[in-house]
Amino acid sequence: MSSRRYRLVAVIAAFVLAAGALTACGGGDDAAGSGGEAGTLRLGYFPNITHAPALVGVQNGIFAEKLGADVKLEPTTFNAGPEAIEALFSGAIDATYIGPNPAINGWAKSEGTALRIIAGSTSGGAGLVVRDGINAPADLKGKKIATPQLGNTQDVALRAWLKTNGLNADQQGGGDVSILPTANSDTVTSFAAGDLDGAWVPEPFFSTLINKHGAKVLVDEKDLWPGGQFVTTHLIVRAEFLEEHPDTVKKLLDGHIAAVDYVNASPAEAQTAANAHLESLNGKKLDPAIIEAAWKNLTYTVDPVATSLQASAQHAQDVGLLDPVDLKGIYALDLLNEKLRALGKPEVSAGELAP
Amino acid sequence: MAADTGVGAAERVAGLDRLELGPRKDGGPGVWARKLWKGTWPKVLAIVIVVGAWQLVVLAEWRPVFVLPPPSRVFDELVRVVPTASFWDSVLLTMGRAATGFGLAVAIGMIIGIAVARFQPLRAAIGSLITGMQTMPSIVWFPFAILLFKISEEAILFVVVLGAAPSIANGLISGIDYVPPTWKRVGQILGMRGFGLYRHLIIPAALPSFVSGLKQGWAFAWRSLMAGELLVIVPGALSIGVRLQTSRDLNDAPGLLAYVIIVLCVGIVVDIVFSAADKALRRRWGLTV
Repeated sequence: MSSRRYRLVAVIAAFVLAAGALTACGGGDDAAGSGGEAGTLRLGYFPNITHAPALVGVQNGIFAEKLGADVKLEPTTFNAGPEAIEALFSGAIDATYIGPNPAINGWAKSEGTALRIIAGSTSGGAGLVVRDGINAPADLKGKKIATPQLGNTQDVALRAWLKTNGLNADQQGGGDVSILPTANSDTVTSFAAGDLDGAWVPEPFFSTLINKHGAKVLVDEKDLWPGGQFVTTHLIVRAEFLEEHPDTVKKLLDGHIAAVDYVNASPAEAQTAANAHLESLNGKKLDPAIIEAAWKNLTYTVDPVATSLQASAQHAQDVGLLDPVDLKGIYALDLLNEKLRALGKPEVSAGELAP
Repeated sequence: MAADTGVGAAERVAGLDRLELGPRKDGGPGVWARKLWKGTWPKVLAIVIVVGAWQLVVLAEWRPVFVLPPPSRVFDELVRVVPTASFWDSVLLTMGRAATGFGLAVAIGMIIGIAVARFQPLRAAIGSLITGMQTMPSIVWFPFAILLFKISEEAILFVVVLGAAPSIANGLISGIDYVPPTWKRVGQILGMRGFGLYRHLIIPAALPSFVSGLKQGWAFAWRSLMAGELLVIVPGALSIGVRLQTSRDLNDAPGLLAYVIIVLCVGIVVDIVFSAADKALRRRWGLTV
């Protein structure tokens, strides 16, 4: 009887090991290509105006044009950064537009192996809006404030700001101020229904809450940063993808630079294109007035505003969402600078975070 | 054989199954250690196989280590998390919810079970409905529960009860159905009526099926609870499910796996409790030694 049992155990063990070995061999199914060129580029971005270069670039075919016929563009959208990092980690996307804090977190969690920031995209365009009657930080006690997702850029910004104002908030929505991570579109409906007292959100939700639902600005994040410049969105790629397909990344940068230029050169057309793209994603157009208002709060630039990244990381550490991390090497701006040189534009710098 | 000499006649004839057993061997620390080893080694081997396979997959670099961390990293995370007081607060909170939900489900399931077993029209009306409810994935109730109770403890409790009660009721119903009619007649002859009949005869007689219903009910309750804690995040309540979700939001793979292991451990511990109850019951019924 016992020899039989041994045999059973041995069979099960062999099976488990074989299954493990098989799945181990089944990996590496990334889009194959030759000579540093990928067959497809899977690009992530969010349906926010802070991601306007991506919205316009996809809508007007700027990326498709620069990537050429050999590289297929597969766009994917996310509500907030942690989701996008999850997708990047699991290899579901190759590059994504994203805010600073999820990028920092992804860098920290992978010990600097998963991703590189290859260009800036947007500065500004986020802040805390609240309902009438809240006029000072102290009035926020016992109030419910939404952010896009735990650990995303606006979530960290709110927590850090509350902390400097002597208010506490835990990661589960308890404390002096209850922080409720909520999908941005739900935030607007919940605020309208009176279930929320405010929100720290990116554009266009910032302007939507102000223009449509009578919210007022308690904090414009611009005022918290020296020179009003802080990174809201930048472009990151999977480190592996950058290593294997530098030519595709160069083409992506071509598309990105062209999209940023277009957005800056013809804002009216860009707004229309961004709105049309939002409509194709959400099935609903935004009020052009809101897009116009949002546009005024944003600066589109390929400069990643590297100085603000270290500060964002410090904020995340201060509120206990991040262990101390060395960000040296998170920027890989060589390819971008190569392109900028060729175009006769000023180069950008990673500052102290240069590798 | 020496041990048998001191045993009384009544003990020796208790259960003819004893005839099937081999002669009792001498006790002592050696036997006890061998017994312990015999009970432990399959479990140790199982853990070694799983951890070994896991480590192999990691070594094969199927996925980067920040997506699929090696067992050692997850173990470090467990060592870091488990001794903290706040972790045990979370366990207490989650187990409290589980106990409340399961307790309520037992009460409701028993009432429904007895009612259905006793009243024929009721059985015709809702007997199959209960089985239908039992097969329903409880997660489909959550959107409605959130609408009914908002994001709150009640929403989670509602779904946990809905998930567990049908199994418990069904276990009791089939238990009652299989009580031999002669026993019921004996009960009547002994003057048992109404509540007394259930308290002293039918429930004890239905126990084996009832206990397996409870066990199944627990499994459903635990699943519903975990689904609920991931979907319904009540502000300020740091449950195990919320910790899991937080690990996800922070892209923390070792944390994710650590909490998966913790959920598994809770399941195993509770199963041990149920198995002990089951064993005690079988011993009482003379089905085991």
